[in-house]
Amino acid sequence: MNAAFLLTALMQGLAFAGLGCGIYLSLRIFKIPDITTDGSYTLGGVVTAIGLTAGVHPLLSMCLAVLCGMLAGACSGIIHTKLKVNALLAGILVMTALYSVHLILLGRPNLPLIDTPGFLHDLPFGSALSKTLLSLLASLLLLLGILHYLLRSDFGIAMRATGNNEAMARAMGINTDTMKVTGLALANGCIALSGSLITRYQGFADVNMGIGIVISGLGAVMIGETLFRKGGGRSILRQLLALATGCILFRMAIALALSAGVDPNYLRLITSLIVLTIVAIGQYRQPAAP
Amino acid sequence: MIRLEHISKTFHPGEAPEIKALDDLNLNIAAGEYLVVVGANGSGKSTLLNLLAGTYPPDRGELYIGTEAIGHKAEHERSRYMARLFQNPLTGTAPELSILENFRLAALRTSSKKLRIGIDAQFRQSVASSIARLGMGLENKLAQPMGQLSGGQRQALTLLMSVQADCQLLLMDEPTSALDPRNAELVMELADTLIREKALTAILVTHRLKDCVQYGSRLILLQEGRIAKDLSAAEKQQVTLPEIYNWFSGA
Repeated sequence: MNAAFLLTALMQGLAFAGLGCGIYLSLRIFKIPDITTDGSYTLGGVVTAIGLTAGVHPLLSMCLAVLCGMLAGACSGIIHTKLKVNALLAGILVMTALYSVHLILLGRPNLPLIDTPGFLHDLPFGSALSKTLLSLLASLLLLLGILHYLLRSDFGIAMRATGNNEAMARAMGINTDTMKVTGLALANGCIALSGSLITRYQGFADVNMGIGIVISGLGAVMIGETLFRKGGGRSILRQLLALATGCILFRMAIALALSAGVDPNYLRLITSLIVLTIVAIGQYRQPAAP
Repeated sequence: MIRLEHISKTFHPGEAPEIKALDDLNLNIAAGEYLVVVGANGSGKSTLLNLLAGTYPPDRGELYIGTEAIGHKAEHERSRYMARLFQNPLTGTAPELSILENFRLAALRTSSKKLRIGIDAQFRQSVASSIARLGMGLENKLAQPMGQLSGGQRQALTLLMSVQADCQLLLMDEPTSALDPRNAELVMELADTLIREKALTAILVTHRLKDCVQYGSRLILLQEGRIAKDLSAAEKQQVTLPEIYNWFSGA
């Protein structure tokens, strides 16, 4: 295992921060197991690849990807709140429908990015690697900064109350349906950002890139929580730092497994086993009730 | 101030057993009145509160606050007028949010929750001084998650939270039934004090007959979805505990 290998895992981890934030929002803040994730992640990649190939500015392509992800999340949210469909089912419906959408958009299962601009291509100095690292790091910090402000704002407190005690939230004048739609839109926007960054990083979009990605996000969230459990309160800042650490460590764990000679075909099996292990550890280390 | 006109509510209509919770109920509650509602299980007390709060709409009839019809407004829209104390002392607060954050939401009950950081030193100070009156020492633990407090503490805080924003009507649905006698006493005393202090209109649904003698300015008995007895403040002062007890045995 060499430095380049670790660096790759680090960059993938940074690019996964959006995924982690999205799962954190849907699962931890809103307590909704949102499977739209698999679809919105791919959607982010697909929209980015199409944008870049068509010559749209990379930043604009990325923004479009995020907007499309938000739209997908809002669809799941509306199906869940307005049509009263179980949240899990609503997500699966949207995810399944998106698979066809991706094929229609791409016109084929895979679109390689050939001769498209790299990260920060218009910056006249710096190597491609350092620009990539800088871009990914900046996206992580931006995401964490936005969430840190959002979750402590009055609106954010209302979001958290909606997921924590819905009856109370309604009694406090919060339209919990609107709040859930907004929350799922935000979560899937973050996830689409991840899909967009990964697509640029790996140089192609693929309709299958999102399969099982929700588990990776969950793994990232839970590693962080397991590590940061000891001592101290659970302030928003602490939770977000745990999240960022979890995203990077999770990619490291996967990289470690691959470098140990695990067949890449077993990747999803390994991913599931890693997440299962973390969940099990978490269950056994439940803190005693106060 | 609050009017209920010909309110009916039936659960499982057309099915057996069809449950007629409220049956053509008419009720006028004046501003500043503290109405105590008693009745046997299934007499329609909780339905009455849920209809007022907007948990579900009435089948027939209309509800008014002032001159405004609110019968078909959603629960979160009605929270502009009213605050609610639930039977379960844990329902009124969000356990993962801190005491301070719970109070922030309560302060914004009647207004919109904006994308700004609303918790500042001044807000913290005002919450601390509001909580200090409980004498529980919680004013020094504002950052503590609500879930770490006892049911009694949480119900008392919920009560304080209800008056953080403008409150025209306070709904209390057996607020002490899950509390030990000492905490129950404390919550009822605090409610009484706040109702007087802020000149609130309040409705208390209770099974504790002692409370309905001690508190309130009007007492009604619900039976099978209708008002069976309606005692004014003066009449209520004459009534004794055994008499109320006898209402329940059909005497």
